[in-house]
Amino acid sequence: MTNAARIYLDNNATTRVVEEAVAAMLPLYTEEYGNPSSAHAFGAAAGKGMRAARKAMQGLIGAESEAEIIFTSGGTEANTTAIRSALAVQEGRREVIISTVEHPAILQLCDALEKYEGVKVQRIPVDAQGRLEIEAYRAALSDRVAVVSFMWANNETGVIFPVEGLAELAHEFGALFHTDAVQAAGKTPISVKGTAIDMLSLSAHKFHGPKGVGVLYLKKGVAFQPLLRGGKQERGRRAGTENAPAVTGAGVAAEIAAARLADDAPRIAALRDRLEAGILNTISHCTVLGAPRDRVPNTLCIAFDLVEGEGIVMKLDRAGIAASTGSACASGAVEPSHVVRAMGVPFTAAHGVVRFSISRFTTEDEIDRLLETLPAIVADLRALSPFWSENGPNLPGQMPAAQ
Amino acid sequence: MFDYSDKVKEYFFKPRNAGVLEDANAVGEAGSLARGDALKLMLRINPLSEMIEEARFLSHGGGSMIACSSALTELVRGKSVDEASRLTSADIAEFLDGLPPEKMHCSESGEKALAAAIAAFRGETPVAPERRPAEPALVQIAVPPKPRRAPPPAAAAMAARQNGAAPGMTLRELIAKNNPLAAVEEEETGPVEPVSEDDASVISKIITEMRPIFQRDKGDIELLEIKGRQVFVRLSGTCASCLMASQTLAGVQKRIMETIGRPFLLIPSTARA
Repeated sequence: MTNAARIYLDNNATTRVVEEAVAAMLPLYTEEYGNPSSAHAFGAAAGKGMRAARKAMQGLIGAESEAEIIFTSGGTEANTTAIRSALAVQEGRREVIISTVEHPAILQLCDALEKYEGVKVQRIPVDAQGRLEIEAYRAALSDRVAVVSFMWANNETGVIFPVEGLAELAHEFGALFHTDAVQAAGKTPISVKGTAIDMLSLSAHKFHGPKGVGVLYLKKGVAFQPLLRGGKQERGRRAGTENAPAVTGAGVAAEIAAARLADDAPRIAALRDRLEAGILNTISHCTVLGAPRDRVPNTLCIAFDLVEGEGIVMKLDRAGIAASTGSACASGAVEPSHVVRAMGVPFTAAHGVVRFSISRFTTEDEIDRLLETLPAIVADLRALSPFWSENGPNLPGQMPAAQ
Repeated sequence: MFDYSDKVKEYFFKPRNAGVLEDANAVGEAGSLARGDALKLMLRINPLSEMIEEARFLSHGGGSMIACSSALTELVRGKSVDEASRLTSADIAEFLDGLPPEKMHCSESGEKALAAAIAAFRGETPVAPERRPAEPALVQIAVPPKPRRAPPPAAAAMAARQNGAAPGMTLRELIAKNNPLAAVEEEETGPVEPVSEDDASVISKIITEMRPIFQRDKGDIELLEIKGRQVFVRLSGTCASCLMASQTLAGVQKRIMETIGRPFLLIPSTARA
């Protein structure tokens, strides 16, 4: 398989770095390699790229001021900083509200806060289409809640939460509101100015920037406690020598993403819809997961009944097509992902979840090649299954749902 | 993606001995659909020499599950039943040049299916799959098999299968045709043990209690009849086509089993209102 013939449809995992970003980064490793904090010309050159990047991030999310941008090592650090800061600045409030489908960076942080630090965590469920149960959220709110954190778009299904409204509800109870927008930035318009969103996390490698750069947006006037101390970088809000080359590259990627969003989003949505319709037309017994009209345009999460996602992904990989599964092996059995389980996907389909995520580099030819390849792969695996016959599913009565 | 050995990949991408073995006389199963992987091992054993002449498999699962199933068939072919009965999950994993730790359960499923097949051939009580109360497996919700003599269950299964294929067959006949295990249950339970009046009223009460859940989604559930451990219900309205109905049904089945303390199989027949 030559490199050019490979097809990458796993853009929610990570993306190809745009060449303009790489070009901006390279001189900062070998020529202008100064520390941005230094008072000489080397440092000044590194600082210049960072200033441009801060401006670009401000533009990408529609922030009021570039001073609201804090660079971090990635989305995980931004999320951790936001939740811990919100708890630290409100001593009387020891509760956190999240959803059951958050990224593990939020879920596992909250598990640990609950277990080791006595924080009460309320996890709001989603419906079968992955939409937040708003009434359960309302009921969970109180003046004991320090922070509410709901993701803007889900990494597995692409389902968008109405975060602006959710943020206003949080403010009614005096709670801070954070959103993990890692899967939303560059895919759907974001404008935090004038909203009740207090904090927001980004990760550059999800929008064609380099890995290892994240952003925590912190609204002006919101109280803050740093996670990392020991330097005056990022105005004392995040200590540690800045990753100036990567931040500079992230800025270039953010600028391009913001500029192209209006053109890219409809084109990407058309490719996703072509893929979705093509699969549904050629393969029986499969279901699209996630509310069809409330999704980011690039994500297709689809459950194939009575096959295991890993087998599909392995066979696609051999055909030069990269996708990912919605399940992982854990504790002696194949477990559907927490998102798939939260949506109550029937066990007949829960193990056969595959995610295709498109980028602006995806072409129609690539989608068509996938559509030519996939039906035979699913058919081959179903032919191997004791639960499938020529007539379709072959089940001995009803069996219980995946736990 | 797991870091599979080349041999695992080879056996996944080009599985040996996949498919139904029409003249199998020993069939063993392990795992379940709910668990995410399951294996059906079909053997043809020479009754005189007790040599395993042919082995085939059907397997539901990821790369390593399919590779383990295929490897198992390669390992047992040409072995005597005695030799085969000494094979362990470690032998399967070793044959495949190792498995990732998270995937060792696949080779364990192979060992269990083999033990079940050999037990079936010898007419012994099949080894029950591991019991997890909240997660009844394919075999687990069936009527517990009784110790028995010949004919071995696979023969009954074969008979059932050969009878099938007529057009207009019912769903249950279809299941019997394609699933020797289901056929075995039918054959072996013999005269259906009548359900006690107490149990019947408990089941009826549970279904009545849970009707509002179905009605809330603009559907309905109705008890048709109880035959032994099989509870036939009719689903109507939107429930008949709703994917979520299977989950709710599982909940009904679970409640019945928990209340009565014995396995029951809830079988829906769908009719549009």
